[in-house]
Amino acid sequence: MNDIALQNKLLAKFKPFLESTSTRWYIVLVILVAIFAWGISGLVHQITGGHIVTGMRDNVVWGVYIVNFIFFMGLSYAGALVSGVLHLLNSEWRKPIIRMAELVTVISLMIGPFFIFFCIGRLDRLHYLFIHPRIQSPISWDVIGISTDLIGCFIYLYLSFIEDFAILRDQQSINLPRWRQKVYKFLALGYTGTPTQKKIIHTSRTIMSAMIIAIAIIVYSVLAWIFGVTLQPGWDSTIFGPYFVIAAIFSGSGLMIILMWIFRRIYGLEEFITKKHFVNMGVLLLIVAAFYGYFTFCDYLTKWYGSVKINAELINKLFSEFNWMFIFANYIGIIIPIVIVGIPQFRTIRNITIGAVIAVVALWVNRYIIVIPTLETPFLPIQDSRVDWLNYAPTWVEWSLTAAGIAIFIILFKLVSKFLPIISFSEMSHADYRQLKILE
Amino acid sequence: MSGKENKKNSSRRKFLKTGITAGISAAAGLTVGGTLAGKAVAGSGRKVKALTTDGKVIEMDEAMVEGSAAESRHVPMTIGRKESMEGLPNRKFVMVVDLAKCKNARACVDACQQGHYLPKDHEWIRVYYMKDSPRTAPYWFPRPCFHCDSPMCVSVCPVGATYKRTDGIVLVDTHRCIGCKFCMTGCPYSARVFHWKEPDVEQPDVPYSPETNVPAVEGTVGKCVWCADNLRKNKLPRCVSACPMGVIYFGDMVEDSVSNGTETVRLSKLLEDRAGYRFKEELGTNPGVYYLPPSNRSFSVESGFEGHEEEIRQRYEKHVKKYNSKK
Amino acid sequence: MKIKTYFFLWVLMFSAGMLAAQEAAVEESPGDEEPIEPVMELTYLKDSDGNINLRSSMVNYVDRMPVPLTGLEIDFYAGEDSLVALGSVPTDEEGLAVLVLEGNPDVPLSADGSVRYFAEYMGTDNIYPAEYEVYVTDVNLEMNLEMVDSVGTVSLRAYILVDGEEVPVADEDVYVYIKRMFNDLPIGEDFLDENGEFVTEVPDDIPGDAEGNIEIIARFNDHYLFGTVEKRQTVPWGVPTQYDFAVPQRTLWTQIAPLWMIITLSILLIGVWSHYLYVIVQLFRLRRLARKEEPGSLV
Repeated sequence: MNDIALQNKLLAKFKPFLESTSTRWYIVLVILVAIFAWGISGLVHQITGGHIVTGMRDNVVWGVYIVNFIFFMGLSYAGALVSGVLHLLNSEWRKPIIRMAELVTVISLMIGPFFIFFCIGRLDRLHYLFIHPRIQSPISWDVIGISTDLIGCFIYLYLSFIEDFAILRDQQSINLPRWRQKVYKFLALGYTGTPTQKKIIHTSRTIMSAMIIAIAIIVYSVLAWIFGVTLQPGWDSTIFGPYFVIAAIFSGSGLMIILMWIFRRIYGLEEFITKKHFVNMGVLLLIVAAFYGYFTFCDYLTKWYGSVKINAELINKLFSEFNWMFIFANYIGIIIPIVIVGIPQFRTIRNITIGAVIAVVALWVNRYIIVIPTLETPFLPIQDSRVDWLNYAPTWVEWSLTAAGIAIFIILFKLVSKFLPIISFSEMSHADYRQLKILE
Repeated sequence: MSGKENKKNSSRRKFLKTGITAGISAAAGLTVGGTLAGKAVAGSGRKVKALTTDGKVIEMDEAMVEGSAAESRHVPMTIGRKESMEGLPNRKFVMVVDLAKCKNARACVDACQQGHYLPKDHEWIRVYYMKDSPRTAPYWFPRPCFHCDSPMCVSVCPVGATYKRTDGIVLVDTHRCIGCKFCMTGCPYSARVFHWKEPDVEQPDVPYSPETNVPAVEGTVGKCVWCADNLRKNKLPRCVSACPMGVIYFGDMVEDSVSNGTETVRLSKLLEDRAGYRFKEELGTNPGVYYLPPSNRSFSVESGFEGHEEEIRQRYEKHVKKYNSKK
Repeated sequence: MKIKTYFFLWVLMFSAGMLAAQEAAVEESPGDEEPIEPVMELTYLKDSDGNINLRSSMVNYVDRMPVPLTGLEIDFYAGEDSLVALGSVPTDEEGLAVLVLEGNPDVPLSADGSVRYFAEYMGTDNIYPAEYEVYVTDVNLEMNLEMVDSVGTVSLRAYILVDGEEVPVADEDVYVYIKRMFNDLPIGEDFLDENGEFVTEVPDDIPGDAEGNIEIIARFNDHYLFGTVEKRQTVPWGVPTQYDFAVPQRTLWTQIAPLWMIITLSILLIGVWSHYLYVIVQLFRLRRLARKEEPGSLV
């Protein structure tokens, strides 16, 4: 029942990439590894010198590391949304991009927690989180949630790979070394496309996609509640749970568009990833941007309107010291994607991608202005004579580790795309299951 | 050949014998000399300053000092995590700070830092310059840890490194703390500090106790512990005894009595007569520290800037300016 | 010959070791070059059992902070012209040396009926000697506690023995306290009347221990004539207290979490992970199926 012709076409398309590696690939890899090594040197400097080498001090105790953590966790929504929701809705157009989405999810879920580790003062006691947990603490909820999410997404990713592994195992057109063929064979679990097997995979994927959506929402809300349950001005907001979820969906869809554009260019996938995909994702981006803007406005309007002194101080700080960041994150980051996708003349692939880039960066800045200004305006004023105690300024250690996080993200993508095609063959060549009465 | 070997062997044996004897006698001498000079071979582990007969100040193991309190003390020498989680029976500690007397002498800060071997920038008790609104008068505000009855910091700790015990004291076990700093964002009063690097004050070589947080651990959180180690000996916390103005009162809510070292009063009477209140009561943390309003002060607030290093004055300058500009 | 060699060697190494240790110990210490001038104080306390406590404290002020001096031998004497040696006590870790004399010691009286107590520290090359004297008249303080019309009443009487006769002490200030954990709570003070008597009432709302016991202290507080003289007695006149740490066991900040949290978490975890397990089981089933069926091809 599979469209074998389409499948072969895809195989032919990916053959050169799976078979051999270009020099350019290696050059980019070396650059990325160098950036990663710079980050590791920063980490070593931090471990030996203590956290004093970062910009964090007694009031702003959470800095760029936590911002990165939330940011990377937010990117994982690409998978939950595109893959999970669209799978349940059974949209046809999702097919070329679901693999990218699922990969983004797993990779960003793997990288995100590392940024928490960098923020922790005693890395040698990390296991206490598992052997001495206190379940009243939002961090314990986070540990449980992220572990569950990571494993769930991994299972889901694997499920989508099985048929592709089988195809790669069976195909003759691409020359692959023996060890890779063996690995494909093992991972394919002997899948041969019989109806029972298909049913098993389909049911499992449906279950997992439902789980993934639920888990993703729970995990991201828990992350929001790490801030929301405290008494700090700016964080003590009831809207934080949904706000963070919306922001995550926003960043996830933005990243999806960027990845679509990159892979389309590298692999020449114009045929499979068309303008329609960009427009659909762009519309999604628009809708979520509107929601995100709405939530942001709700949050800040109610803070600004009320006369509570500490909120007024926070708003004042946002519009003076953090003015440009605030405008970029909450005005530019929302309006530009909406304008680009909303006005048909602007709706080109390139423009939509630019809008997505702006959206993703704006969301990083948004996390920054959620975390840091609050910590700089505690209830008891910071009365200190040292500049680095009064205002937070990230140091090279923190920037290097941020760069290393982005570098490892790209590296992992490169490695996986070497091993597996970035478009799911099997998915593309499936007919719609609903048409097949087998599964009733 | 064998003769030569024998000679070699015997001379080697001789050398070894001589060497070993020399070594053993040297070691014995060192031990005896060390003991005589006061170095503990096996002792209680706590060191006290003592004067030798020729007037040199040395550090001696406490147990070696004759007639020392250690010999007669009944409390265990080390309070570990388990013991520190039980509060003193039938006690509920409370502190009252009289804002009408505080003039930023900072003796409390110095005594606390000295007693707990804290680095200069770790202030477990911190004195703020507060001016609540444009037309109210400024005052000095000493803020120790409030040891809240509904402590936010304890709720958010993921590993149980901080806990509240029955006598009201909230402690930090820096051998359990992983340094996530969630408690620092949880505390609305900024009462906690973090060891961002190895403490640059030399830590004494004593077994660790959560009641003192000595020796300090890098990468962990610290805060005022209401000198729980003093309380076991019925002694007042260090800041209370050190304050030259008698600003801080400390006592037990159960026996309704607080003392600032010279004056002992009934807590209920003090709070009633002087209109005691708690800071930011509306946050619902139920602090264990009460404040007496700064009324009828006989000194000017500006006198609190004098007699300190320039750095201390600079801290407050920005806020003095800010408060004054709000007229 | 051999033995001699060994013996000398032994002595040599032993002494070297000792010297090294002593040097090291001495070098470790922040040796003071100038002699220390200690600050000495002597206080007299006649406690509730009638025993006399002579307390001498030795501190040295370094940067305005008092450093207690430990291990110094303080000699106590009584008398003016002829000194009676009472004993020697070394100072403890807090710089205090306490000498306890059993009640009514045989000490020489001065002309006005007082006793001169004298503490001395001989001094060394590095510490200046110090001495302190106090003149104390021995006074007898009696305390009588009884409930009069269901009000706790403290009756005090003080007298001096002059040639075996009781002479009441008049017009001297005496204080009454309740013992508390850190210091003593004052409940009354006044001057003794011409009979050397003083009566005061104990408030009925003083918290006591679990049985309601409170310790009442009558005291001459560092009196210029009498020193510090106290009389203590425990009576069940206080309000019984039982402090139940009246906080429920299950809250956000206690060891055990609220029940609803545990239940919610369990439901969520079990719900999600059971689905995971189901899927994993299905994957294994897939493998088993494949082994049974014929190997097909997807290409």
